[in-house]
Amino acid sequence: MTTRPADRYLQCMRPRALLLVIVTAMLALGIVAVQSAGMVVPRSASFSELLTSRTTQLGLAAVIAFLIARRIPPRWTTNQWVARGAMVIAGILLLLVFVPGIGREVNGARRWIEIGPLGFQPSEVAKWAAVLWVAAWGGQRGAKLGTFWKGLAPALLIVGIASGLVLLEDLGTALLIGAVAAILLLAAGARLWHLILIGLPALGVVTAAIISTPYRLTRLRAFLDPWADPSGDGYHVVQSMTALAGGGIGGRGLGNGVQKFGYLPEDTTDFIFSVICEEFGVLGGIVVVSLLLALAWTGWAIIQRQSAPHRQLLAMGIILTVTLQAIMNLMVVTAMAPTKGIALPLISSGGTGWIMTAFMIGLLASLDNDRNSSLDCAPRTMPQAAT
Amino acid sequence: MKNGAQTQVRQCQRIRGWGFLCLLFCSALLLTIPIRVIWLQQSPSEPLQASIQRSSSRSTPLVRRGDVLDCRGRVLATSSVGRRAFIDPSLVDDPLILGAELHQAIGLSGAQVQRLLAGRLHRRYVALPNLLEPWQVQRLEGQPIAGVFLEAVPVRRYPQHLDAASLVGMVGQEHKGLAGIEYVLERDLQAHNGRLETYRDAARRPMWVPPSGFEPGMDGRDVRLSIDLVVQRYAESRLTQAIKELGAAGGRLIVINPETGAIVTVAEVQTHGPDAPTQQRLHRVRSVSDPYEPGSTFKPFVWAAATSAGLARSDEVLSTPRAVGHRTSFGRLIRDAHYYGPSTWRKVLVKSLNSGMAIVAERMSHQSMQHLVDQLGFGKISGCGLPGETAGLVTSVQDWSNYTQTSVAMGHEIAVTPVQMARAFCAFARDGSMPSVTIRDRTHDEGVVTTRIFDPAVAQLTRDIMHDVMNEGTGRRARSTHYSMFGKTGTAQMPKKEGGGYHQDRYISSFIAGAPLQEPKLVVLCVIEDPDKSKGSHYGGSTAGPVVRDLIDFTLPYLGVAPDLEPTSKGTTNVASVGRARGANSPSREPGH
Repeated sequence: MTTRPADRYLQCMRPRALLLVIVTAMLALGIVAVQSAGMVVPRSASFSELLTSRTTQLGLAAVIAFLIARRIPPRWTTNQWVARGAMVIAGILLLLVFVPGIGREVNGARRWIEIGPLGFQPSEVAKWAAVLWVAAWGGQRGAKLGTFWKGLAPALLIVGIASGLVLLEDLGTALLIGAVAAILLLAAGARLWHLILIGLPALGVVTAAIISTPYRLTRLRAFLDPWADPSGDGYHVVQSMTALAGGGIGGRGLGNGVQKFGYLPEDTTDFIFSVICEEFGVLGGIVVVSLLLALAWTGWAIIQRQSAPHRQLLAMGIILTVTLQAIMNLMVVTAMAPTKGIALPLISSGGTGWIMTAFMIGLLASLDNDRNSSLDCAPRTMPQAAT
Repeated sequence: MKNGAQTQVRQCQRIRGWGFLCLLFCSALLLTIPIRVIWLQQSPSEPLQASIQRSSSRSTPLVRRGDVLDCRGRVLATSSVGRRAFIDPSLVDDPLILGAELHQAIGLSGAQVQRLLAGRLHRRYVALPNLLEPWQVQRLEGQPIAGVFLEAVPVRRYPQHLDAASLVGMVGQEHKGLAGIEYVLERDLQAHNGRLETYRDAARRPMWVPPSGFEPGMDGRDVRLSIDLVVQRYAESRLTQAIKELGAAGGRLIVINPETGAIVTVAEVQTHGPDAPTQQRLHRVRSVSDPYEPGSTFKPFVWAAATSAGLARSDEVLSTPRAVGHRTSFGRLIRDAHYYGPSTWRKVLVKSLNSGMAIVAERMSHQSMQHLVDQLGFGKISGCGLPGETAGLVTSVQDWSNYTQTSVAMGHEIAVTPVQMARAFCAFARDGSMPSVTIRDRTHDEGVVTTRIFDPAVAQLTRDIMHDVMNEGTGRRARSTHYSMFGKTGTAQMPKKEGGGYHQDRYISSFIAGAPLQEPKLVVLCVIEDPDKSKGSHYGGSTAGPVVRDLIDFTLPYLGVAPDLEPTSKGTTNVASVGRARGANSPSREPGH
C-alpha cells in the first residue's frame, strides 16, 4: 500500500501538530504585544535585548511546557489520584493566599502568593485542578451522575468549595471554574434540571458577592454607563473602547499605539487585546479571534478521536476553560461585559498563566498522541480507489 | 460488560453532543468580538470620538494674511501678531478674586470679569475682549495669574486709518474679509492654515507627530492696488471740502488712468451723520454700486456716435430754437437752459443744447443708440474688481421708445455708475477705444483689454470740442490754468426715491474731464449729490468742475506730467499753446469733409 503526498500532508496536520503551531503563534503575538504595550524608551535599546527579555523567556518556557506536557501519557492525567492530589494542592494554595507574608494584595484583591522569587495566582492552579478533577470524576461516575446525591452532589460540593475559595478574591475565575465544571458534569451525564436547581442558589451567591463588594458594584455601574464617570469608575472601559476605536482597519502600526502611554490601565495584562486592536487594527483582532477559534476546533477534533469519556471530558474541559476565559476577557475589553480581572490566555502578560495554559494545552495534545485514542487506530493511509 | 460498553459509548456520544453545542456557542460569541470592534470604529459615539482625539493635540501655526498695498507699495492693510489673554474657568477657584487680580495686573475691572464669566464657568476657554498692550503682556508674564493664559492672535491693522476706508474694507473676528477689497480679494489675501498634530501621553507630554500630522501653513499673497494713496488722500479731502461748501448730501470722485484702465482713486463722501470708523469700513463702494443719471455728461457719446455715422457734421447748422423749446416729431417739447437760435452741431455740444441733441438723436435709429449704450458698457458690470458692483439701469429693447431715444441722448432715462461713466469717457482720452478697468495694480498696459468704440479721428474731434466746452461752454469755471482739459458738465434732476418723476429743485451735478488734452493721463469724474442751491450754483460746471480741476492740478504734477499751459500775467490760459493744440486737430480731419 503506497501513500500519496497529499495524504502524507494530511497526516502531518494532525491536531497535536496544529496545536503546537497555534500555541506558538499566540505566544509570539503575546510577546510582541506585551513588549509593545510595556514599551519604554530606554537610553539604549537593542533588538537582542528584546529577544532575551523576561517576556520572551517566559514565552519560550511556555512552549517548552507545552512540549513536555505533550509527551505525558494520558493515563497519568486522567488518573483519579492525580486529580484528587491536584485539587488538594489547589485548596491549600487558595488558603495560603490569606496567610500573611505569603499572600500578596494586588489592585485591591488578594490573589497572589509569593514564595521567594516565585509569584503566582493559586486561582490559576485551582482552575486547571478543577478541570482535571471533574473530568476524572465524570469519567468514572458516568451514568451515576444522573442521580443527585450519589453522582452530582459530591462533585458539586468539591467544585463549590474550590469556586467559593476563589470567589472570595476573584469572581471572574470563580465563574469560569463553575461554568466549565457545570458543562463538563452536564456532558458527563448530570441532569439539566438538577444543575438548574443548584444554579439558582449559586446565582444568588454570585449576586451577593457582587453586592457585598463595593468595587464589584462600581464595575457593574461603569459597565452599564461608562460615560457617567469617564475619568473615574468608567475609566478602564472608556480607555479600552478608545484604543479599539482608534486603531481603524489596519491599526496605527506596531509600537505606534497611544493609549498604552498612561491612558489604558492594565495594558499588558487584561487589556492587551485593546493594544493589539489599536496597533494592528481590526485585522489584529481578527487574527486573535481566528487563533482562538482554531484552538477550539482543533480541540474538538481531538475530542472526536477519543473513545474514553474521561479523556473526552479532559479535552473538553481544557478547550472550554481557554475559550470561555478568552470570551470573558474579550467581552470585558470590548465593553460587552462588566470589568473582571481576567486575562486573555497565552497573550496577556503572565508567567504562571502562560506556562500553565501551555502545559494544559500540551496535555490536550498528548491525548492525540496516544495510540489508544479511537480514531488513532484508523488506517494511516487513505484507501486507494479501485481502478 | 456489554452493558458497560454501551453505556460508555452513549456517554461518549453525549459528551460529543454537548461539546459540539458549547463550541458552536463559543464560536458565535467569539465572532461577535471583531464585529463589536468594527462597530466601535465605524460609529463611535460623540464622547468616544472626543476621547480618541484627547490623546493628540492639534494646533494651528499662525499664518499671515496678505497685505493690501497701493500702487506704490504703501501699506493700506497689514497683519501682525497680537497677544490676548483668556481664562480657563475650570482653574479659577473664585471669580471675585480673579477679578481683583486682573484689575491689579492689567486694569480690567472686576465687574467686566464677572460679566465675562457669567454663564461660562463650565467652559475651558473664555477670551478677554481686547488685545493686550505690551505693558499688560509684560505684567501677566511677570506675575502669572492662575487660570489666565496668554495666546497669540493675528491682528489686522490699517496704518492709513480712515484713508480709503470704505475701499479697503475690513476683516471680521475670524480674520476673513467682510467688506471692501478685504472681502473681494479674500481668495488672494487669505492665508491657509497649517496643522500640527502631536500625540501626547496621559501626562500631556508630547511624544511624536504622526506621518500625516504636519501640514505647513501658507501666508496669504500681498495685493497691490491701482489706488494711489497720495491722490486718494487729496481727493477725499478736496471732495469733503466741496461737499461742505456746497451743502451737498454727498459726493463721489473717481480717477482713472486711461492708458491702463487702472483706477487711481475712488473717493466717496456722505454727510448723513458721523460714522464710527468700523461703520465707515463697512460702507459699500457707491462708485460701483449706486447708479445715477449722468445728464449732459452723456452727450459727448451720442455726439461722437452720430458724427461717426455721418448723421451730422460738426459745422452743420441745426434748427435749434431761439426760445420756448424744440418740439420733436412725436410732439415732445425739449427745453434748453439757454437759447442760441440755430446752432452748429459743434455748438450743440459746447453749449450743451438739449434741442440739438434731440434733433440728431431722432436721425439715429433706436438700434444704433442701443448699440452705442451697449458698446460703452452701460447696463453691464465693468468687472473692475470693486465689491458690490451693479450694472446700472438701461431701458430694455422692448420698452425703448422715441421718448427714450431723445432722453438717453441727454443722459436721462439711463442710470450709470461712476466707474462705468469714467471708463466710457476714456474712449475720448485714448484713440476711441475703451479700456477694461481694474482696481488691481496695472502699472503698464499689460492685461488691458480695449474695445473700439469710435473712430480715432472722431474721438480726437470730440475731445477738441470738449476742450472748447472748457473755454467757451459750460465748463469755463472748471478750467485749469496749468493743464489743457477737455470735459463735459452734467446737471440732472434727482429722481424721487418713492418714484413718480423728478424733484424740481434737487440735482445731481457732475463733471467729467480728461487732461492733458494732447496726451491724456487722467480721466476724472466728480458727482455732487443734491447741492444746496442757496449756497450758489447747482450746475455741474460750478459745483463738481472745480473739484475735478483741482484734482487734475494736484495729480498731474505729482505724476510728473509737465503743465502744457503757460499762465499769463492775468492768470488766464495761454491761448497760443491751446491754439497749437487745436491747430493740430483741425476740423478738416472730421469724417465726411
